[in-house]
This record gives sequence, C-alpha cells and structure tokens, in this order.
Amino acid sequence: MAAPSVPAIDPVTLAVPFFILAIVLEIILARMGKVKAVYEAKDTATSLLMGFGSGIAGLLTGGIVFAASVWVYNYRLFDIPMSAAWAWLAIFLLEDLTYYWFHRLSHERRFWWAAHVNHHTSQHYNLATALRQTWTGGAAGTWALWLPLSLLGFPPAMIAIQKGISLVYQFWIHTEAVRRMPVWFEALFNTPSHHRVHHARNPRYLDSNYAGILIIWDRMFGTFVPELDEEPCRYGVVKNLGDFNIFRVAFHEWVGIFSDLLTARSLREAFGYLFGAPGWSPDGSRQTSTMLKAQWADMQTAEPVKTDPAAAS
Amino acid sequence: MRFCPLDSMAKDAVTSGLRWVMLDAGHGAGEGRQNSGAACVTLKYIITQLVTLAIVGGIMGLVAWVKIPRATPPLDEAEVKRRLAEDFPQTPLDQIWLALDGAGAVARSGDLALLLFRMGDSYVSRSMAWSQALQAQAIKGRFCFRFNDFAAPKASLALAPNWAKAAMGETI
Repeated sequence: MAAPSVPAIDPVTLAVPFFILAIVLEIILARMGKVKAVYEAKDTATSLLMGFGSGIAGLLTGGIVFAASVWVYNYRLFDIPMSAAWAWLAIFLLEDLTYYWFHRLSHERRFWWAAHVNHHTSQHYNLATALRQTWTGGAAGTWALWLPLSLLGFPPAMIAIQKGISLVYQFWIHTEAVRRMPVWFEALFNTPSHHRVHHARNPRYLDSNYAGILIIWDRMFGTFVPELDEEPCRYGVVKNLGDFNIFRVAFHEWVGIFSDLLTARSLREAFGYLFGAPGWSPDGSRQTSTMLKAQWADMQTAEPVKTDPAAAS
Repeated sequence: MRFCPLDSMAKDAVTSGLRWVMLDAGHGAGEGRQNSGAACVTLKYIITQLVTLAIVGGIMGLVAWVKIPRATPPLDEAEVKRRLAEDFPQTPLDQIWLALDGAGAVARSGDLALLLFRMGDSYVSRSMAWSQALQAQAIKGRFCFRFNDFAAPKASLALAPNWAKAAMGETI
C-alpha cells in the first residue's frame, strides 16, 4: 500500500492567522490592563524577524529532511495506516517522546544548544517569543531523531503533520497571561506555567520542563520543576545578549564554538567544546547549568535567600 | 523489510523532498505544467513572504504604539547590587559607579569589573578585568567598554568623566 509521503495539510500554515490574531489580542489586552504581558518594540521585532528567517531557513533544509524521511520509510518495518485512529494515538505519543529527547539534547549538549539558544534569548515571555525560532536547526541535524519513526513505518506525511501539531500547541504556552490551568491539565500537559519555568534563567529552574505537549515525560525522566510563586521567572539565557541584532541572535553560540575550537589543545578539548554541556571548559573556569544549580543549592544551604516577587524583573 | 535498488530509492526520496519544497507544485501534471506550476508556487511563495513581512511590520508598529514595556526607572545602588547578585552570586562588590542617566553601572570586585547595562527595557551584565575597564575610552560623553564576547561585544555607559580617576584613587 502506498502511503502519502507529502502531507495534505500543514498545521503550522493553517495556524498562522491564529498566531497573528493571538499576538494582537495579547498586546491589546495587556494595553487595557486585562492580562499580564510585556512587549518591548525591538525585542518583539527581533522575535518576529527570527520567525520570518526561520521559515526561509527551513525551506532550504526542508527538502533534505523530508527526502531522508522518505528514504528511511522505504526500509520500514511495518505498514502503519494513516487512516487508523490507533496510529494517530501512537504517533502522538511517540512524536512527543521524540520531541522531549530532541529538546533535552538541544539544551544539554552545546552543538545542538547553538541551534536552539536563539529561542531563549528574549528577556521577555510573550506570544511573540514563541516565534523566535531557529535558523540553524536543520543544519544541526536534530531532525534525524525523528527518522526511527519512519523506520517503524509511520508515513513521513503523518510525522510531518504531528510535528506541526506539536509546534502549534507550543505557541499558546508562551504567555504570562495564563497563570495556571486546572490541576488535571497541569498534571498531564505542558502549560504556560511549566514552560515559563523552561524559559527562566533562575538557577533553580535551569534545564527543566523539556516537554512538547505532554509534561509526563519530564515527570518520568526527572526533569520536571514546578513554577513557584515565591520565585518569579527571570527570562533569557545565563549570559544575555548585548543587543537585538538578529544575526547575533542566530549565530552567537556557533561563533563561540568556533572561537573555542581555535584554542583547543587536544581532541578531548575540541570534543568538549563541541559536545560538552553549554558552559563546559577544560579548566572549569566557566559554569555549566549543573555547576550553577549546585552553587545556588550551596547558597540556599548556607543562607536561605529571600526573594521579593515585586522586585523581579 | 523492503529491499529496493539504492539509487532508485534515493531518487524517489529526493523527488519527494523536492516536491515538499515546491509545495507539491506539479503534482500529477506533465513536465510543462510542472514548470508552470513551480513558477506559480514561487510567485505565491514570494507574495506570502511579502504579506508576512507586512504583518510583522504591522505588529511591530502596534507594539511601538501601545507602549507596554517594563518600567525602567533609573538604577540606584541597591538595584545594581540586586541585579549583579543574580548574575554574579557570591561576588562581593567593593564600589559602584552609577551611569549618569541611570541606565547602567560599573562595579568593582577585586580584579574584576562587573558591568550592568540597559538593553531595551531589560539589563545585561558582563565582567572584564578591572585594569581593562579603567582604559575605556569616552566618546561623546559615553564610555565604551569592549568585551571579547561575540554575544555582547560592547557596553556604552554615560559615566562621570572622571570616574576612572576616582576609581584609581579607591582602595580596596
């Protein structure tokens, strides 16, 4: 049976009008004082232009990614029909699990962090931040993590549609306008609260909540951290960028890797700079998130820090 | 598992990939119609991008118009200490020099200079050698501190003209 290789629908394209309306609504409601949202003109411009550029970059690598998916599909182990409900449930769960590990890898290994970091460079957290997408994700090759799904026998079109659904779901959680969802929803799904923690640079919150749609993966693999009212999220990266230049946003970590590789004195050092945790250095003079969290934990033990929610940036 | 000639499979895969890129332009059409379809899709793509850019411009205009950034009152010493403590925990500060416009500060911590500077409605911090900070040049009343960091190449602070002299007079 020949399964469709090219998706008949693209959830992301279909959702674009919703993205625009939701951003405009968030801005207007924030202006009216009805919801919590902060927008800074240059920061918003950077986010939107990164999203625009990501679309173009995706087009350049999309063909290769899809070709690889179809090629692997030719070796599939099973024929999984697109018309079966169980197949959609299975792809929903497996794609979301794949996303979790992709996302975790993208935070915990520098080579892939270089492609993903741009999404975290805003010091704001609003719906426009959701569109601050990667330009170099295709080149970094993380799409290969989805190839086993093709090998299992999920049609490439099905995988592409589910990836699109996941991306669309993750748009609405980039907001401060929604404080908490109902308890059952917070337990099962990724929510604005969980994802605010993921975007926070407070040591307590680093490297957590990697979920796409289901938060259960973080709970299962020990990376779930709840948002605490007494510690408001401070957004951005550990060392925030010095300006709004979109090329700096897109490429700064790649430049950092390249500079470090030039100073590497051995293959081990080169490997560490490329695939070590972000912040890794041969002499330990820089800090990884594990080190930052340990330092923070030590400080808590030595002298509990009083946090003032009103003073949070 | 299916075994097919590798070159044929690769050709199929690349064709599918290209069709994906071309938004399935010539699906089911003849060669001539495929070319015409591709041209149509290219035009459609360009128009889509132009419309997207116009929408981006519209949202940027809306954000600039509604003015809902964070409040950025001039920094005082307590606020500088609080912010630097977040980025440089367990780093004692010997002395702080506030920018005249309240948009940043330089702090000394032993052999280190800790700099805090405003970006939009947010703040960015970096450190550099204290001796290097003292050599920052003033251009039109603003001192330019250059970092060896592509992510934040420089900070420009409106410090008092004699801040470095005053700083050199300080004892730790």
